[in-house]
Amino acid sequence: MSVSVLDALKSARNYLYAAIFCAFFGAVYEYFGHGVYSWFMLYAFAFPLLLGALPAILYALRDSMPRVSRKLWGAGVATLTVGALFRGVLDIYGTTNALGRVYWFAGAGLLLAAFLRARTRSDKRG
Amino acid sequence: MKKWRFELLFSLILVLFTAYALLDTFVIPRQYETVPSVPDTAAQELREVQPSTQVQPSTQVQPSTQAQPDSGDTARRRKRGKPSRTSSQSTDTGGTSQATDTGTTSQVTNPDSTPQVTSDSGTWSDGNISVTLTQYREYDTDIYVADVTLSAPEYLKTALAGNAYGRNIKDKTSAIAADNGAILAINGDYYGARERGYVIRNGILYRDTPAGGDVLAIMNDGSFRIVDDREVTAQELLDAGAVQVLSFGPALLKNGTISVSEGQEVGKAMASNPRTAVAVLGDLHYAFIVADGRTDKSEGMSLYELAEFIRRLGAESAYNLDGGGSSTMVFKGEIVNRPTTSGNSLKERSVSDIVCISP
Repeated sequence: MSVSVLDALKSARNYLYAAIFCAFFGAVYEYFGHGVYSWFMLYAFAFPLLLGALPAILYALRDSMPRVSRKLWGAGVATLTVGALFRGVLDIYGTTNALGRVYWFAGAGLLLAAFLRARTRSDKRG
Repeated sequence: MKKWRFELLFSLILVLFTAYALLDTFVIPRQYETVPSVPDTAAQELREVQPSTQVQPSTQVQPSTQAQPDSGDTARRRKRGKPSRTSSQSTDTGGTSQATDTGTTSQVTNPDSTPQVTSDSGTWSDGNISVTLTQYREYDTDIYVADVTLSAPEYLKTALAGNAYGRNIKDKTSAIAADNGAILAINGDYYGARERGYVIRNGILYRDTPAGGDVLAIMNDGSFRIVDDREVTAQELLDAGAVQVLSFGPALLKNGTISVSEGQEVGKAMASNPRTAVAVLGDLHYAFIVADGRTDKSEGMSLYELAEFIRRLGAESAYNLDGGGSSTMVFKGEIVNRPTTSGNSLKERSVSDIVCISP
């Protein structure tokens, strides 16, 4: 197994830990939420799982993402995950804050940047 | 270390931003406008009346301050879907020139489908304002109803924490009530927790962004108008004579008909919770309602149960205000219910605003 594949698998494992943490955090928060629920809190774990662990495994089967792209992608996933938890906290309290939108825009921007960077690199190699 | 520089830097930015966003949401006060304070005379009048109206001046938010709840047996008999058949006693003494106060307790058995009285916890009247506080036990929940009759609509008021409009400008319902010389007060819509929803208070328009739901407009003749804020602007409500506009909801009763479905809830809340509502019983005749919840003693109510209960009080219109840990009723300077956020401890939550009766 190549080093890059090992790196990707290690990355997938870390995302998986993050997903487990989010699921646990969400469950505990919901438990003390007096029946008030938030989809964002409940499904915050989906971001590291679907956008982190899954692509990392897929990349491990093919080729690893360039390092910078991987870092940008990770930052994007982290931003979206924290954004979901933040929104969950606000939902459960029953409040809103426009600053919450920053997470979605920044997270999406980072994912896009990672994707475009990876495309550029693969084009150059091709 | 160099390898992780980006991750460390990014994590730091993310943590700092999140800390700021949380502080901005819950802590940092932002005052947008100051409102004219209630004339000192009103507070002075109440202070003058207080000595004779105070039932138990030493009591505060303690279990001992509550009117005695039903026994367990009685509570079990009042299960959901089995409304009792007894009613409260009206002690309206409007028209007298001297403020009066009584701390009566009664168990009145009477006609159909009106809720069960646990106790009458006191009255207050001064010729223009008459308030009778009654405790009920329904749905395994302690419910406090203040029956209010006014001689003029201007006695029904709202007040903002710190007499200022803004975000995170909060104070306890009892403190806002005291600052504004209120005889009776309940928590309002907690407008400061949200960025949307009309805010008109005492004839001043503070916020005109719709939240997409029912708003309660208290008109200059004292009547209630419950409208969808997607269908009418705040300015139109103001022009039509709205003196107060509260944005929480939903409407519980419209024209005497329940307007919530059995499963309907506030936002993402589920089932039983502490509740606060305000209702119209007739011309210048209102009910302020607070239900306890989240405790072993008092389960809390669903919106539908609350609407059904209020309908049985004889209300025509009723509107749900901020509930949960915010639900608080203050009468003559005392907290009459058992406010709690967690259910483990009794603690009055700070809120943005109150609805009150003030001379």
